[in-house]
Formats: sequence, C-alpha cells, structure tokens
Amino acid sequence: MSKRDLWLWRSVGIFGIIAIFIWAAVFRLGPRSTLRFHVFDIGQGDALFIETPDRYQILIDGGPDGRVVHKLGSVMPFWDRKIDLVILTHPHADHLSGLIDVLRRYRVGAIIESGAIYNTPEIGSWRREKEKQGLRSIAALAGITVSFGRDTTLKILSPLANVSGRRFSNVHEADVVSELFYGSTTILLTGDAEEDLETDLIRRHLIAPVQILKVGHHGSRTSTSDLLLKTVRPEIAVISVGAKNSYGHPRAEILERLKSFGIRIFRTDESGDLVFESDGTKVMADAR
Amino acid sequence: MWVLPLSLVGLLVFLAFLGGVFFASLVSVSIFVVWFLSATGVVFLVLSSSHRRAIITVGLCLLVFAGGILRMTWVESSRLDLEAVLGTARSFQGEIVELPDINGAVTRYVIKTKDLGSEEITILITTRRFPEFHRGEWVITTGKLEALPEADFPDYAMSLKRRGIQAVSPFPKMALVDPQPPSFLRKLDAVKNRFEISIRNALPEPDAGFVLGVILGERQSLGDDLRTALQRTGTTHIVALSGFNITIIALAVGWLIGFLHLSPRIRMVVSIIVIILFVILVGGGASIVRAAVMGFLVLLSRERGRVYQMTNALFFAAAVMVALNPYLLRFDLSFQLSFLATLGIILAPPRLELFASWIPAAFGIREIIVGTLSAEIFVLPLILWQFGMFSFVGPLVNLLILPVIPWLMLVGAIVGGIGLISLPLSALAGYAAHIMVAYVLGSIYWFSGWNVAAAALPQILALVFSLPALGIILLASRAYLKRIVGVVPALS
Repeated sequence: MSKRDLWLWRSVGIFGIIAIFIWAAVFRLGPRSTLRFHVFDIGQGDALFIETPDRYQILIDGGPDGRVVHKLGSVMPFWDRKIDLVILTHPHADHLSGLIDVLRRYRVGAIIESGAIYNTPEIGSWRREKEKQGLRSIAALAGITVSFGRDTTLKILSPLANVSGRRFSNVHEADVVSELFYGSTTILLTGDAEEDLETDLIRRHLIAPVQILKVGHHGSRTSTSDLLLKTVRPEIAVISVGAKNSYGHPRAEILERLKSFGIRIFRTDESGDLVFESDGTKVMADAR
Repeated sequence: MWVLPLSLVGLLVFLAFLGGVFFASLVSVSIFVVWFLSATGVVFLVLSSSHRRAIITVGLCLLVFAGGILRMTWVESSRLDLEAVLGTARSFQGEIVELPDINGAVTRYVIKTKDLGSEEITILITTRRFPEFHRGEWVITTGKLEALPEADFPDYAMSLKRRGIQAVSPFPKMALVDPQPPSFLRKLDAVKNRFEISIRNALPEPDAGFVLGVILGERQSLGDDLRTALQRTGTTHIVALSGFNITIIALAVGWLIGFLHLSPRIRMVVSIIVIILFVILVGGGASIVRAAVMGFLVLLSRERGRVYQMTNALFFAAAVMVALNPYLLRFDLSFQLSFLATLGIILAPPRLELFASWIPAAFGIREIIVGTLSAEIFVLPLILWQFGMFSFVGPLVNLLILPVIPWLMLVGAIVGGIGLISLPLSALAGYAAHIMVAYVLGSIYWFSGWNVAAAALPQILALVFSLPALGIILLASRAYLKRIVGVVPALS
C-alpha cells in the first residue's frame, strides 16, 4: 500500500468514527413527546431529575455527595452542560452536598430554595459557590409556577409564607414541596416534608390526587400520613433511600400503609436508579 | 586473571543493601548480627590489600547488607513517644501537606504540626467533606488524638506508618488560620487546580474523572462501578500515577517533537523538561518523584538501549529511594509495582520483539504494546499475590485500549489547556476525548461483564505466574555473564 493510500484509509476511518458519533447524537435528540422522571440511586438522600418533553431539565436536591454528577453524566447528552432549574427542598446534607458539585460542573439557570437559616459547613460552601457563579436563589413560596415549554408546569406548594431568613427548630418545617404537571401526569415532590406540613397543605386544599408520589423523608415515620395517602391516592410511590442506612428507612409501617392503599412501591435501595416515562396520560416505570 | 567488572560490583552492592532492608523488615535483627556482619566485612576489606576485586566486593556487600539492616531497624525504633498527647483533646496549628483525599461525604487530610511537643508530628484527620480545605493551607484543629489502630487493623496501620503518619484524629473541629502564612505547596497546586476545574467544566462524568485519572492519576472521581470494572479487566494501572504513564507522556512528547527533526539529545532534554513540569503539575509528592525517576530511566533505556547500564541505574535508584524511606521495599505496593514494571520494560523487550513483528508499527503502536506486555509480565505475579484476583481478559483488554491511552492523555491535556482560555473552544477537543473515552470505557465495561473476566486464584499460583519473568531475568543474566566473561580482557 502506498503512503497516500494509507493516509486515505486512515482519514476514512477517522471520519467514519466521527460520523457514527454524530448520527448517534442526532438520533438521541430526535423528537420526543414524553417526560422523564429519574430517581437517582445516590445512597441515603434525594436526587431527582426531570427532563420535560421540550428537554428542559430540572434537578431537585443533589444527594449526599458527588455521585449525582456521575448520574447526570449518564442521562444528559454529552454536550449538555446546563440545567435549567435546581430546587433545594431543605438544607440537610443528604439533599444539599451533591448540589455544590453540580454548581461547580454545570451552568444552572435558576435556583429555588426556602432560604431558611441553617448554619452548617455545607450551607456555607453552597452560598460561596453561588456567589462565585453570580447566582441568586428565588425564595420558594406557595403559588410560584414555573412553565417549561408546552404543557409542563411546576407549582410550588410550600412554604406557605416567605421564610427566607427565618430560623426553624426543625428545618423540615420549611421544606419546599412542589408538584409537576404534564398532561394528566402529576408528580408530588415532597422532599422531607413531615406530617404537620402535609396536613397543613391538605387543609388548605393545595394537594389533589397525583400519579406519582415521592415518599417524604425516605420513608420515615415522620411523614406519609394516612390522611396524605387518602388525599393524593397515588398509583406509584417512589422511595429514595440508601441500602442498609442507619436510620432504618423506609419504616415497615410506612411500607405497610402504602401497600394497604394498593400503591406500587419503587425503592432505589432495591432497584437502583429509577426512571419513569410519561406520555401525558400513562406512566411507564423503568423506561430505560 | 579475570577481574570482576565494576558494573557488576555496583549491582551486587545495591542488591546487598536492598537485601539488608528486606531482611530486617521480615524479622527483627539483633544488633549483634549487625556487628558481626560489619566486622566480617571489614576483615574481607583488610585481607584484600592485594587488590583482589572479588574479595573487596564480598566485604563491601557484607557491610552494605549490615547497613540496610541498620537503616530499617533505626526507622522502626526511632518512633516518637506520643503517649503524652494521645487520647486527649488538643488544639494545634499545622499545614495540610498532602492532597485531600475525598471519599463520598468524608475527607482525609494529612497535617504536620509542631505544636505538640518538641518535634514535628504528622497526623491523619478524618472529617466531613465540608468545609473544604486545600493542600498548603494552615488550619487550627481541635480534637482528640488517637494512636494508629495497630491492634485492630494492622495492615492499615502499617500503610499509615509508611506514609510517616504518627497519629489519627477523627472528626475534629477545623478552621483556617487567618492570615494564612505563605505556602509553597499552595502555589504549586494553583496550576493543577485550574487545570482540573477546566477539565471538569469541559467534560461531564465519567469522561472528566477518567481523563483526570489517566493524566494525573486521580482516582477520586471514578465511580465505584468503574473501579470494579478496571480491576476485573486488569486495567487499573491506566489510572495510577506510575513510571509507566510518565514514560508515556515523555514518549508522546518525543514523538511530537520528532516532526521537528531535532537531535536525539535535544529530544531527551525536552522530554526531561516535560517530565519535570508534569511532576510539578501533579503536586510533586514523594511517590510522583519516584515515578518520574522510574519513567526517566525507561526513557533513557529506550534511547540508549544498554540493558545492563539501565539495570544498574534502576537498582541504584531503588536503593536510594529505599534508603530514604525503608518502608517502601516491603510495604509500598505502588513502589513495588513501579520497580517491577520498569525492570520489565528494561529487560523484556529484546526477547519479546521477536514475536511482535506482526504488530503494525504505525503510531508507535508496536512499541506501546511490547512495552506494556513487558511490564505486565513482571507485575502480574505481584498483583495476583497481593489481591488474589487474576484477570483472564486482562492481556486482551490491555492490547485493545493501550494504544489509545497516550492519545487520550494528549487530547485530555489539550482540552484542559484550551479550557483555561475558552470553554466553548475546548468543546471540539472535548468531542475527540469523548470518542476515545467511550471506546476505552466501552471495552472495559463490556469485557468486565463476562463471568469469566476475572477469578480469584490461590496465592500460590503467583509463583507459577512469575516463571516467565524469572525466565527473562535468567536469560538476561546469562547473556550478561557471557558478555563480561568474553569481552573483559584478563589483566596481569
């Protein structure tokens, strides 16, 4: 083979590989009319990721460490370095720490958090990272609605008043609860909301039946009351919880309660990463 | 009469020293034995007044062997008495001297302080990940000091001791000293940190973590899945900072500037400069300097091709390193692996090249494969001995991915470099890196998925696996002996 031929073949090879990757990317970006709801298996904590049909991306909490960045890398396209909305439900480390890594690695469009005072090293690092990026959070407040292209909206249900700068003995009281709507698919995102807050929301008629319930506080006894389940009557309950965690989450009585309502239970400690895909009416589990 | 050549004398002396240290690290040797050996050595030296080199050598070896024993024993016995400070809550100021080891939600720091007693003490701190501190920063630490867990975790305690750590402190309070004293380490890390941030901004995971692993030997941001897959496919070494990857960097640079048609000498100088810059970039720790020395030796041996000189140089380097830190020889796996890999790359290629002529020489692929196989042959038995796991697909996977690794290092460095100037511009190089990472990780994951990819083997089989390496050593020594007996002219 002459030297020229050799170079020709090499070029063909290299461009061939590049072409394959470009086409792979094109197919990945093809039109889609479904919403995806990922519940990442990041150990004990929460990290939920939603991609709307128009490919807006929402991240709710970041889990206890940098694992969330790996999970995002596996579900977002290679070139996509932007997340449109980040919600921090409350500043406990098992929800917050991973978000600090996310801020360092991704461009974030907007942040919604309660702003309640909570003094931990994690909060300090979170604040510094936001300042460095020139990001300012929107104080969460019931009634705030965020629209994502066609048909998808996210509604903040709590806190019921602006609690920015207030101090709580239990910061779960200032938890950011929200609900996502796409067609008739609805997801209730509870964070670590406890029974008092659940009851409060129900009394004010802020909660209606949903398809998917993100079970509050990793299946702890403090949350997911009978009353809540009666009100929201979900088809699917999702529990984000670490395998063999030291808290005994999820509690057997909560699992029993969910079963007694005939709800399908999905757990990250048993099934790993969970994906739910909705076409606006039906929800399919483990779409991946 | 035939005279022992000087090069062999050197080799024997270095071996004797290493032997002494090794012996003393196996059993505790009484000072009487050291005296006896030294005295015998001196007797030999005195008797050899008639300039018989062989006898002088025996004497020297005995002395140096005793020296090795002494060195090891001395390090073992010179441990500080920390009774007074252990078990109590203390507050002290010190500098973070190693790169923080972040593992999930927990970080480990190594701190040197002079606040506890008259001598400097090195302490390992385990604490929550936030707030974060960096190498070279001075911190005030308040907490309980504890002894190394020698009773509960002897291996772990030994690994700490080897790193010079004398006490541990779990979850103390830490705060930055204000104002910060000047620190050389902090300046050193500034470049590296910027490079890392640049890579992490340009690439998502797992690409960023893998590229950083391949270039800088960082393993923190590799996921657990990937770590297991690397182990099962016998490819962990591509993300370890060793003489091997420093050699690859130097070779890649040599290859690049080869286009400029410079003389071998200038190529060598440029490669050395690049190695030094690299050592500075990755933080200049003791293990990196050792890796760089090994890498430099490999480079030299390729340039010069004088196997025997290079073997001597390697043993000399090893003896110096062990003299500085005697724990290395028996307890530091990365030192052992680097040493064996380097020895393999020096000794094996002449024997392997006969079988490698079918591999295409383009892009330096043949060199890389022969070099890697040489290293593997020497390193495999030790890996099997240490981990009890043998990767059956290892040779194949290595063959598939290794030709890509130097290119990935190069492109990764370009991504990081351009990213320092402009993030969008680095995207193009990022794509190239992504394609290579996809190929490498794809192969690794695919093969590690096989049930038969790896299996636990009895330790004793390591002896069987070491036969090829021993064979190569035997062949090399035979060739060497033949040469010195034939070539060295008889004197007097």
